[in-house]
Amino acid sequence: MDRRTLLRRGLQTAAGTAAAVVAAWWPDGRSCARAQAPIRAAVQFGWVKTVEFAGSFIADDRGYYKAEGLDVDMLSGGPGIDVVTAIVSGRAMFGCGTGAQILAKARQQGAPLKVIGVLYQKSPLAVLSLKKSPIRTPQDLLGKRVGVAAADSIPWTTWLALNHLDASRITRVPVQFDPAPLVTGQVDAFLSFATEQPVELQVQGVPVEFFLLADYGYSSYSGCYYVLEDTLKARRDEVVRFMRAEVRGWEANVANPSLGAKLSVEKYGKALGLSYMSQYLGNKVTIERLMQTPVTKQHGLLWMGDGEIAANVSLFKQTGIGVGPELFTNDVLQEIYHGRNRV
Amino acid sequence: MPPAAERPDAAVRAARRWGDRLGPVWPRWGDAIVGPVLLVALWQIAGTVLPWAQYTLSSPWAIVARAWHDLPLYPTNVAATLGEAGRGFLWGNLVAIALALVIVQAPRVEALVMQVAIVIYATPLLAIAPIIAVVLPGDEPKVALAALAVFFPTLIATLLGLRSAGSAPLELLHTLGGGGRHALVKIRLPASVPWLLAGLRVAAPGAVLGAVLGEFLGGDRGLGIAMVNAMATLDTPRVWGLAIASSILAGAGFALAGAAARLFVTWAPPLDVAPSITRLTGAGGGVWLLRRAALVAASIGVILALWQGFIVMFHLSPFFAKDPAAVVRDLVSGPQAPEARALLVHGLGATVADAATGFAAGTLVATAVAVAFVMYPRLERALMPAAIALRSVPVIAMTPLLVLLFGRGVLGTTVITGIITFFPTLVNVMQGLRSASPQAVELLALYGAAPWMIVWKVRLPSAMPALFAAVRISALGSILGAIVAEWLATGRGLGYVMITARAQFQFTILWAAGMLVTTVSVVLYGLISWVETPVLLRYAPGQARP
Repeated sequence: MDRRTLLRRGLQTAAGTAAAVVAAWWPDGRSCARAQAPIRAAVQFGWVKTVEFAGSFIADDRGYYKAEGLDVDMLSGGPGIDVVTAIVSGRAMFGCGTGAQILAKARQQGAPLKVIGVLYQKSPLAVLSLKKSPIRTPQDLLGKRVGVAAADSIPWTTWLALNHLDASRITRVPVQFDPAPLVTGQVDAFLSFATEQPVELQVQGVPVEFFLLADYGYSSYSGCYYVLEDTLKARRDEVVRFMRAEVRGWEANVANPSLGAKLSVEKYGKALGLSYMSQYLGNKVTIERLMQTPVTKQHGLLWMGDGEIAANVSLFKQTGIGVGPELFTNDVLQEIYHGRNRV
Repeated sequence: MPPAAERPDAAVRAARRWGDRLGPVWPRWGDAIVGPVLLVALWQIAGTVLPWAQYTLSSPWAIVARAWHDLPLYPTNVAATLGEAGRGFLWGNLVAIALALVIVQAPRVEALVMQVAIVIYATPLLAIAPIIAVVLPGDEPKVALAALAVFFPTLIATLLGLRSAGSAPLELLHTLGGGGRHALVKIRLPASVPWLLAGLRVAAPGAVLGAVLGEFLGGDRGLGIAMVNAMATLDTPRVWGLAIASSILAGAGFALAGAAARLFVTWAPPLDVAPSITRLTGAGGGVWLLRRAALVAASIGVILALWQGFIVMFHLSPFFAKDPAAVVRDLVSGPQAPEARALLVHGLGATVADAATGFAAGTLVATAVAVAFVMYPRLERALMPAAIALRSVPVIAMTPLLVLLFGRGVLGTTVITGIITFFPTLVNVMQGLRSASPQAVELLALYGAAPWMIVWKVRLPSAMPALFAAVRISALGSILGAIVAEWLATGRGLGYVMITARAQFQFTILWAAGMLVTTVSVVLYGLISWVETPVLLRYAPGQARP
């Protein structure tokens, strides 16, 4: 814990004590309903505030955080924010929106991280192409130019190896997050996020095709919720409360996909000028194709099945990352669900 | 002696004669309208005709229509960017001016302070931005990046200004018993103002760009963040609208500094001696080299101490904050040391080559344009807005277009790097060309010398100190530009090494690459000083000290 957090926690304790004193002294106790001031905690998102974080928006908007006694600071991400570094440095307590293979790599390099829930049961990484020159299978990629962002280089090389594709026969072009290189013909395919670029291009009137890396052997979890091991030990109660609010938020989002889209456009991502249509469609892709599987139907959203954890670990092993199942823990979710599949 | 503004410059008069052919009804500001209008018309045609333009070039009409629809987006985002840029501008300038004053009053520390300042300026933002982003709270990372963008140009310009005072008044003051502080207040400060204002003209757009770059890291609001979303959703007209808004902010800063400069010129003391930034000593090469080596050693010590201190002060985790010892250890005896070293050496070669071509292109074109602008002020009025706009559009937003137009090869890299080096050189060289002695210019004009002869014989030599000041800035800028180009477009060189190292948590390689880039920049800076000394002795002998 750094000095700033220490100071803040100290002030919070002092404020809590003061509130308790005031509550005891105040003639009408009802005006200070909670003796304890809400606990501040920060979550660092991996991207700007879009519908990708709908569960958190709903938890905040509907007061699920508040009901847990939490005051949650939702920190925007972006192209230059590395969530792992933000968690390791203590800027935020919870990380949200990183792939499991990347976290395993970070753990191997010395970041003591624990994944406590997984939003995307399947990786949203998708090979995107234009309908007029479609790329439908991994083999179609041979001899083609593919745009891959530096941040996705680990999953990409892994996936090529899994499919026995000769990397030297595919021209890799460095791109960022904007799909312009695809529509202007600089690349034939683009490694995209199924909830984003394919949806945006369709909304812009560009017909596209895409397939998920997950459908061709890339068995890595994505959209992980994670904390430092020490956080899980020392502040477990807050972790459980935060995750309960998140699960409630995501349950509400699954029940009503337009709610998360509306909150993103009108409240949390207001300064971005988001389009409701693409937010809604992206949310539908998340809900229908990525976050629900037989495992989550049985155990609840964000749950990590034993078979899937084993598949993740074997993927790590194949790529020389010596990290085992200890990266994941269902402990927190267990405490939230109590054996049921809903909160 | 009449004030400078009342003595019409021969070249200006020549240009006015040229302009008079259009008739007396043609107003001076007419050029400033016609130039941009022509460019906008060309843009509209290209945007309508070219098949791929819809997703890159867009067209002025589409941009305006989109901006009208997006109107509610602008106030929040402009206010956020302006706030960050303003705070960065303030802090960056305060620190730079304060440092310049210290250096002038205590010349002994100059070399060391300058070395440290250069190292800070030369550190690739790509490497430090993620660290700044997690160390500073809230919006402060953006303010810090804006301040960093402002700091160095202002420092150089202020120093140049403080040194621009003629030696005669300083000697007079000295014989009258005036001390260093008197010299500072009575002579150096007034003399420095035009130069400082020229520096601020570079710094003001820089602050906006720094803030926008900071916003590209991530955040809730700001033009850069809105741009990220617009780029991700292929909303090209909106990307342009936001980029133009940031250009307008930057241009407004540029115009304000320019207006202040014009206001000041009416009581400016004529700059009759070409100023020099370096203290010229008559020492021979050997002694100079020895001194230089000692200085470099001292500054390396200071930097290593700062680096270690930064890690300790902010309690940075050893996971991502590698101290100097850890970096060296990993590169010498780490498990993958040979691979890492090969990666770095190979990347360095590519980066140096990319930077050199971009630097050469940017400097040559900027000098040529500066000469053209000074010879034909009408041209300046017509095209300067476009040049400012070019400087003010964030490179990161412009790169997709540049890559499409010029490819991902040598040409693309050269253009991206050249654009970064172009503007500081243009502004500085123009200032230098204009600082030529009016008497000398007038004398040549009286003898019927052609305008190009005046430029060649009087103006260019007078511009040498300013050109070198610009070269110092743009040489470092070209390295940083090459890194940006490699990161965004080519996928080679140290820029790409850094970005992939970050993605794979190979922080040793990231820090080592950052260190390499910084070292190369510092060496380059030293080389420029080395070349500069004999050149200045020849062209600005008034500044040579016994």
